[in-house]
Amino acid sequence: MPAVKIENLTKIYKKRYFLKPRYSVGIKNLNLEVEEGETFGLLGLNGSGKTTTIKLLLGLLFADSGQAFIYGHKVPDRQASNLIGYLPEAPYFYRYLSAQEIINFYGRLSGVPEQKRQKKIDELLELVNLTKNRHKRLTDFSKGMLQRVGIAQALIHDPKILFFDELITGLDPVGITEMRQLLLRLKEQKKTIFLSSHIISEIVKVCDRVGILKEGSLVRIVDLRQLKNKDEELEKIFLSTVMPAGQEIVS
Amino acid sequence: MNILPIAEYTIMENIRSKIFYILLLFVLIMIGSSLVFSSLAPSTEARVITDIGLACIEMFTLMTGIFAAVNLVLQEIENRTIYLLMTRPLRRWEYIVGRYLGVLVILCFNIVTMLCVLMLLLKVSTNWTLDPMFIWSAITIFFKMIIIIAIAMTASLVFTSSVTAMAFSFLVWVIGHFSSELKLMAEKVQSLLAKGLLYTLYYTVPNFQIFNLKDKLGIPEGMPMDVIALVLLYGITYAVILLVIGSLFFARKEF
Amino acid sequence: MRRGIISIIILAVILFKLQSTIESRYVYPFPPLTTMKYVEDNPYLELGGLFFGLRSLAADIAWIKTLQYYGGPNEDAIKEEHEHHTNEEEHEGHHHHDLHDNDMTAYRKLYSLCARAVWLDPYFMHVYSIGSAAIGFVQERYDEAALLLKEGVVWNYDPNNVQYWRMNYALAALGYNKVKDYKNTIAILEKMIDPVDSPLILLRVLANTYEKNEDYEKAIKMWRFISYKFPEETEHANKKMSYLDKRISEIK
Repeated sequence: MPAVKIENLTKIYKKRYFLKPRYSVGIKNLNLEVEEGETFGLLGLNGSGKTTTIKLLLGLLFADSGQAFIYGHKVPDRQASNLIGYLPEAPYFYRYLSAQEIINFYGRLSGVPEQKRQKKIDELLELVNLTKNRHKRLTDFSKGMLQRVGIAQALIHDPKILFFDELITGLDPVGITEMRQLLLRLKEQKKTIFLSSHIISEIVKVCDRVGILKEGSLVRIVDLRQLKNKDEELEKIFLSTVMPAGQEIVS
Repeated sequence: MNILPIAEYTIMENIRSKIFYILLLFVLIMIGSSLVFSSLAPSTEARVITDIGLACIEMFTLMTGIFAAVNLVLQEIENRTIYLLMTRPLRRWEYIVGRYLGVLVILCFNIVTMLCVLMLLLKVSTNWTLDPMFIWSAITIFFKMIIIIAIAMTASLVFTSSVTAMAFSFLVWVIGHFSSELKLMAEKVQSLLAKGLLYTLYYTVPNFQIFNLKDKLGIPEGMPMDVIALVLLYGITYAVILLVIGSLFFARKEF
Repeated sequence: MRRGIISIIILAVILFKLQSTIESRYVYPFPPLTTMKYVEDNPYLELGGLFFGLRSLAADIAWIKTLQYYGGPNEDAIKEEHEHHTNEEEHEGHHHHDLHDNDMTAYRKLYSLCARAVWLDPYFMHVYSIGSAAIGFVQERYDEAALLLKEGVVWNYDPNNVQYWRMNYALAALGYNKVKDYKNTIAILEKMIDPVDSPLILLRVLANTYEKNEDYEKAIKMWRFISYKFPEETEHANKKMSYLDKRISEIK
């Protein structure tokens, strides 16, 4: 059973503008499968539909047509939610809670039993290197620290599949390295990882396969395991895919 | 059932915000200032302090309650903290009910605190004795909140604008207190259209006047206990309907 | 979705049932808007009280405004009137019957101000008792005072409440006072007034009625009690007592 299965998924945004509806395409007829244990990257320019795809899978948006499954559960579905760990593109947290409280809160929501939860919180705080700051309120946290809290909350219920939206956007080089190491560690644990980014060099370092989105359509899937010089080749493929036909890159 | 953790963090959110304490302090000062007013009306001091005190408690709870309620969900959508909640195995109606109950607990705490201060003030400054109707009038203030908070919250989900929702709730509050007058008008008015409109308002807008025991404190026959019980039941039913409507709207919401 | 709508319908039926049951048991305890009594410049108290469910508080404010109009809590205005007459009598040796022959146009708005307060809250007993004493006994506008008291009696029927009976007594005393039957006025006022919790104005009315009935000893006693219970009144009470002493010695 594939971890993620998307069939003909379409999402059209409708906005009322002086009573006249205006439509814009989120994604169009998307088909995709991600295997268990695989690290899959969605690559695309801003507005190409990366976040839309992830939100549809998480049940934050509802599809206009088509369907999507997570481990066989048709989304949106509460059972599927139990299998998912999610980190949004920027860490949106309650600032009045401490690191420990917020992880505990999400753990409770996911139904992790009390004893197991406390043990898991200690483990995770250690993993993301926040043990010392566990009782500090999030108001006092830097962006990198918040991102690490985000990772911890995404892992509290031991999910099978992780969704990371623009994981490293806005982080400093140290933060980026930390995140990459964390991802590789999760990969070792055989978690399925579904991430989106527009930074090719980072995707190349962690992903097994990459899907390239352009204006809401999945135009190409690249298996990085078959490429030799991943960085350069992917960049070339990406640019040639997303650039309008007939336009050449002057290097 | 995930209602409890949601209610708990809503309470925490309020307790940890400084503005909450500043407002509470402000009202306690207001209640205290009723002493000054009461000195203007000799031999009715206790009545004046009671009236000002209960009015302050109600207005403060109303303002903070409506403000909190319309922002409960909208703020979370705006701050995008809603993303992480909605990707958890949390039913959407559980979220709505949890948020709602959390605010109610805070408002209940506010009312009790202010009521204690008011009773202390009355005891110290006048020869006041506790009348059970006094406690009932405080309880019915809370039941008014049970309704108006549900209205404010549901309005915020329907209108998706906190200003509109606040204005709407406020309007309902006013019409609700005017309810009995509306019925009297409806009976008198000639035009069929106006009659229909007035009756519709009378039957759809909650009748807050029946909860207004604080204005009935001096009334000889008071209000029989079984009617009070019916009134409380009415309040709860009304709130539940609104929460169901709110949940239906929220269930279709995209983030 | 469907379950939600069905539950809304069921609950709405229950709500409607509850509402009609309450309606059959609940009596709207206030005079309807159409009977609105008195509007000063704008009806902000009336509207505020009605729309926000703060009628009782609005009535308090209306009452405080009435008291301020009438000269504040110490009833300074009455004092002035009394002093004015007392001096006059000393000079001209008038008979004390004229003591309360007040200017009938004074405090003309008093009745309508009181009526406004009790329109907002018809259960505000103090307004009836203090208001009618000021209008009826001090200003001697008996009809207005009786009108106010009758309103109070209609709204506050409660045979177990002493306040209710006091209003009825006041109505009777007012009737006797009108025909200058001071003996019977006193008989009723003595039944009606409980010195321990009566407002100042009623005690003064009683003292002054004793005086009118040439019952100077009792009048002095009452003024002594007033000055003991309301220390702010001592100066005025002393004046009254020395005046009454003078009258007693004159008679002797």
